[in-house]
Amino acid sequence: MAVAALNANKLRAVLTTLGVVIGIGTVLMMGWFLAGLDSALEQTLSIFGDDVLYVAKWDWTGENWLASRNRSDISFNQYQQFKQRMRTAEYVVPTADAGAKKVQFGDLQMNGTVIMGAGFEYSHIVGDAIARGRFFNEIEDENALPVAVLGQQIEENLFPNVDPIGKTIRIEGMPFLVVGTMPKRGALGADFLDRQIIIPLRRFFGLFSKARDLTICVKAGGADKLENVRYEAIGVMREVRSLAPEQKNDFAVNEQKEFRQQMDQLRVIVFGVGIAMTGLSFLVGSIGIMNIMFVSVTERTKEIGVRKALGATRRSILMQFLVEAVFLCLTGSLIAFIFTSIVALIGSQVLREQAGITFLSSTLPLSQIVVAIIVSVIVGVLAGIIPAFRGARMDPVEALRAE
Amino acid sequence: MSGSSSAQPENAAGEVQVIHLANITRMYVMGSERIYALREVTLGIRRNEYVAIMGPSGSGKSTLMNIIGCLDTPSSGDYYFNGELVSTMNDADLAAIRNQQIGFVFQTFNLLPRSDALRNVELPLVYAGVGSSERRERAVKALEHVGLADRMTHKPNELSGGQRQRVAIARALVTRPSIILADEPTGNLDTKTGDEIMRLFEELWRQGNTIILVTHEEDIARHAARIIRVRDGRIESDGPNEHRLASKEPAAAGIA
Repeated sequence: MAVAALNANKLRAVLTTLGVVIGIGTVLMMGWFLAGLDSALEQTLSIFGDDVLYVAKWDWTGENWLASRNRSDISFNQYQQFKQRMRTAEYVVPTADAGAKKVQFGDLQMNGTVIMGAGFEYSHIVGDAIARGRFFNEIEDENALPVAVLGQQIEENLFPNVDPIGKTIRIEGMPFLVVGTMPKRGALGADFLDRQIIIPLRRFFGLFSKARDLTICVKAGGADKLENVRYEAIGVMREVRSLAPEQKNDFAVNEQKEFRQQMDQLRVIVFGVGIAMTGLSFLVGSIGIMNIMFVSVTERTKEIGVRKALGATRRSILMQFLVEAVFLCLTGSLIAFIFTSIVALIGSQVLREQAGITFLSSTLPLSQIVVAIIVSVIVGVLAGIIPAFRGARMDPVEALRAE
Repeated sequence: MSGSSSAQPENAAGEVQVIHLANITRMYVMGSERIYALREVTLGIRRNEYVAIMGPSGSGKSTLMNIIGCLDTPSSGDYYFNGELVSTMNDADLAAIRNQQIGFVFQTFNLLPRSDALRNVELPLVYAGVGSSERRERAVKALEHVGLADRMTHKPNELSGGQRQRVAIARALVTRPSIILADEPTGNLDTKTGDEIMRLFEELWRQGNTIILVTHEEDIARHAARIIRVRDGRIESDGPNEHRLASKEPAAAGIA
């Protein structure tokens, strides 16, 4: 019955639901974006490993930034002492970074790469480090041989049609033998990983200089062991850095958790903006629905009178108009769902190609359908209740007299 | 019989009064003025009567009809419907009485324009909570009863005025009500079609239905067996119709 009444004014009904469409659309977009963000976060966290500590001068949380600046670098010598004294860790691996270097192969050239010097055990720090070939070995590491492992994007740019293994590239003009390539690892907040070239740390020192700040990767060998290892790492590092008992740590022991905190901040922002937009559009949407329901009730005064004469109770009239309002909102959410699905499909593709943003899915999460339905039912009931109540309370005699 | 029986319905010797109004007053307050639409009306209608309520506009006959139809409640006085006091009932109980005991037929038919004949006739059964298959069955029977077996899936705008009123009558009959309350049922019809509708009422009466006709037209009222005339909120006269226009006297006349 309610549906039939709406059919008569399709255009009006569709226009009225516009606010609801925008509201539900915002909710869906937000859900889509946050779901993408979550999957990206998991991907990123898996890159850093859930049982790996990163001992560094810098604090990843961004706190103590000023203090970090004034701290002395972690030297290779300190790393060696640290490694020697650590008992609980599975692997202790030094790394150092240098950014934005020119890399060539034949006529092809790439800028903006990140050169990482690392110990040979670095391949154990993260899972699935190698796509093809191999990581450099202990001998190559010890002897500072010019070998390199390429990030996925570097392989793509410099070796579009050629197998890079066994080829020689030039980093800052110096020749390096490619021994392995990495799979695509880049993810949200860590997209530089695909522009990374890993070379033996000792070779790295030769290329840049030994006076480099190191980050020491400490793999605990299980997330459950992480706290023990952290405890030991702090103690050992304090000794290595010759800190007196009353002095604060002049280093940070970072882990993926810090990354998660930064992501959470982003989530809060997305969520906040989304909620504000959603609230506003639902306000507009409900006013629209309420308005059309008032019109509908007024237009159908006579019908209400007839229905009451035939035995409709206040409750059944109330329900009739509430169902109508909810149906309007459900229609709105259906339109929003179709629209948002198209945006997700096209948007994820465009963002991937144009901006390199890969974490957005091309489909909406299924749970969003449930959310959209629940939200539209609630909005429909809230917006419809006052007009429906007015219709339900009409005096049958008065209503029958209406034209 | 005298319509001004003041006996309680359950006391009426051997006779069940479907409608029993005792000292019914309906008063409206308009600003500082009190307007009496009905004053101390007492009235009884028995099963299978065919009554016409007559009166000029403003006489109070519409108010009387609304109260009899449980669409309105009196300001004072008692109204018994089938022995049940309805004048103090709440909205939901009144809705149930209207739904199950009263079949309304309106001057303007008042069919739902977007529903076909069958759906229109089913509507009271929807509110009565009758299951869909029984609903369909009973609606079909009611439409057959009024001679519209071949028009069931037509929408009101595909039907003539007379056919629309037949649908409305089928809708009134479908719940097997105690009374059929018809408000100017031929007011929007031409004379010939109006006569057909009046013949249908005659037939329904002979089948045992109680019919209350509200009209201001003498020609229409003349079909009834009893005429109640209302003026200035009071019953002016109430008695058997001496000039009945029926083609044939009913076999089981419910009048003395």
